[in-house]
Amino acid sequence: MSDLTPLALLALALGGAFVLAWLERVIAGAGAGPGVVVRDGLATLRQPLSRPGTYDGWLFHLAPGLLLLAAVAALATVPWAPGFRGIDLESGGILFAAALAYVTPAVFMAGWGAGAPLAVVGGFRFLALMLGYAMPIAMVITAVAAPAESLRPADIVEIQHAVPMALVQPYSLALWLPAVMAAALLPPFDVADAPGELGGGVFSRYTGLDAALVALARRVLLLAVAGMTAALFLAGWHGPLLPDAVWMALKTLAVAALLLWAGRRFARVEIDRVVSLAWKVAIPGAIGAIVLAGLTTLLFYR
Amino acid sequence: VVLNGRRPRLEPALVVPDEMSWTMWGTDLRELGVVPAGSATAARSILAPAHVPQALAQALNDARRLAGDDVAVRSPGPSPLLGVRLEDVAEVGTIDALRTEDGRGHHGPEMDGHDQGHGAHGGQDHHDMMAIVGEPSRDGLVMEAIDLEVGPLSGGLAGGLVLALSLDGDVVEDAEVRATLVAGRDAAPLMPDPLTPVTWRVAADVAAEVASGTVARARTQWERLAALEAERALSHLAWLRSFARLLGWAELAAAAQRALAPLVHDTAGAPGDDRLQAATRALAPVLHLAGRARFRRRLAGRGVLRDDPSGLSGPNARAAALARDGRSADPLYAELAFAPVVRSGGDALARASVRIEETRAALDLAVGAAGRARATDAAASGTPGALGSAARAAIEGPRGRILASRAAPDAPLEAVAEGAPAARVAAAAAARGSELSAALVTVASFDLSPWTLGA
Repeated sequence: MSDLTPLALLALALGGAFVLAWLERVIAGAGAGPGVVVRDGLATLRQPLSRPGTYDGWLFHLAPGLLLLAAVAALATVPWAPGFRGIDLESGGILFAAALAYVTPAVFMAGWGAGAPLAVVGGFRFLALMLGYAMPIAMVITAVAAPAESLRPADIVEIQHAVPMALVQPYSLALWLPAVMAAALLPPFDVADAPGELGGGVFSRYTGLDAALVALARRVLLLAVAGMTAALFLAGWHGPLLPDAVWMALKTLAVAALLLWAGRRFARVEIDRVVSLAWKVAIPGAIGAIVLAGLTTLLFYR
Repeated sequence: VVLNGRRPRLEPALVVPDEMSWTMWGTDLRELGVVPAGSATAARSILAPAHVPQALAQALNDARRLAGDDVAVRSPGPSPLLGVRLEDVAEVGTIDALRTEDGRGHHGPEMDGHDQGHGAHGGQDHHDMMAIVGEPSRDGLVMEAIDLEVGPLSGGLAGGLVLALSLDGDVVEDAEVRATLVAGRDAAPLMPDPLTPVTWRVAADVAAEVASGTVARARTQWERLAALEAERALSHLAWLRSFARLLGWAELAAAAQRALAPLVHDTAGAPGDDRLQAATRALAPVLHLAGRARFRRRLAGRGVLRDDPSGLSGPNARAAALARDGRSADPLYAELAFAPVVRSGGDALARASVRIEETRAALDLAVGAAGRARATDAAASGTPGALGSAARAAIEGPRGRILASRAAPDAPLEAVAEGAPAARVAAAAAARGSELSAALVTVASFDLSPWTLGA
């Protein structure tokens, strides 16, 4: 990690969020070029800060910052290229899960801080959702780490130089995708803000800088989970001809596009059904994935 | 929609009273570069009629405070609504302010609901919202009830409807549906329900003919039938689009939008054959999506009717196994081999299925009727009894049968929308005991019009 790494990470967060906001518009069929993203961002920033009569100011205004912090921390653990990563720990995979875990209190604080019933309901919904889906995220990371015998994401990328993990452990990928979509507040798991139903839910009161921070944090979260998916399952920077970083960027964009597209294809999940699915299917499935990953490692990686 | 060979830039807007109303009045919001905002704070502009009924004006001011006072307000086209001039709306005040004066607690407004918080404890700090006091509820947890109003400007329900809920956690303990709009006061004369303008215009014409003892020419009768069926298809698709937005299903909302776009037309005329054919082609993806297991899984068993369905009319009755359709006895519909669409579940899935299947049938009927109109001699006399013209206008509208009469051809319209009061009660009853989002889906599945429920 050089002195410039934090700056590079910041540039990645801002640039990535910009590209993903544009990609989101393209996939939603909302038309227009990247200029609209800038214009929309500026329009948000021009709004005055909202001060709802019911809110708890401290929690309300702290939540967007915490959400962004969690998103950037998650982003920092993603191995973007052989020599470039923000935080390179032996336990980087677990740090990624831990960073995502901070999304939950941030979202809950936003809902509780706003003090409006629909916002509070949104906060409780997200809490229930993530109590079920936080565990599968960490468990799947453990499963894909088994062949590499390391929790460092860069090592997991290296072990995939021949075969991507998506082919070795497709069941882990099937468990991973819905869980990270939930953590990144993406439809159809957008139970916390539920546009059209809760009218913005936990984020319904945010305007101005708060709203801009929330919008930025959501895109950085998407970038982080798409990047980590590319690293853990699609062999990260490995690929022929093109430079390493380009492969990683292309794979990350492809995953982000897939997640955004999937969000349009399904109706928003119902909280009771999805929580039941988490505890009855995802968590037992993740335990099974760890066992299978152990067997695969013993048979093919030794 | 392609303008100048490019896709339009779509920006979120707060739409007053709702997107469905503007569609029924002949304005396609996408052509204005607008999609309804998921929340008021996300709105980049506000679209409202030139005259805004009082109740909507107050709600608009509430939402405007969230959207930002400098957000542009514009009027997309002509509307049949009466009320405060749009320029003067800011002077009307807000619902929120009225609540504070009532001593019912001050809570900020939101587009999708006017939160009363714990209304009976107005002025308390919001920390008490989930306070552990009171009687244990069914799940054994002790919580204070949260009173909440969704509407009258809501993405999921027709603008003007208010769904008053009492929540225990996120479970609906009590629900009531109210309408804030009154036909005689808030909309043009002869227009008891601005959500179905063609149906009521035909009803007024037929009622005038009954009063004068005449029967319309055959060609006029077929043209009316074509217009009625086109409006039915448009109304059902506009409902499906709102419903899909409530479900958070962008793909279905987009498919419904593409199917209804050719049908959006000036309320003075009916869409031509080419538009009906275009809508029929664009309906195929809607039918495909509605036939998928995920659609059935999402809605089956939700909002099952609790009460005797005998008071209901229209698709809500036909979804509860009542083969009740005013068109069955109509001689013109008999010529087109009409058969009612009936389902037996009595749940949200059955109601949605009836409307989607009726959309397909309505487009076929409209094409058939338009063909007959073209083939009919202009001087040919009409069929007595068509559209109830023997005694009074009796027309099966998109939400049920309407009966209309006039004492004289130019007298005011006396009209009844059958099934509307029963649907209001049934929707509230079916919502009780369900989780908040299931309750919203339940109420939306009844496709209530705020104009026919009464104040």
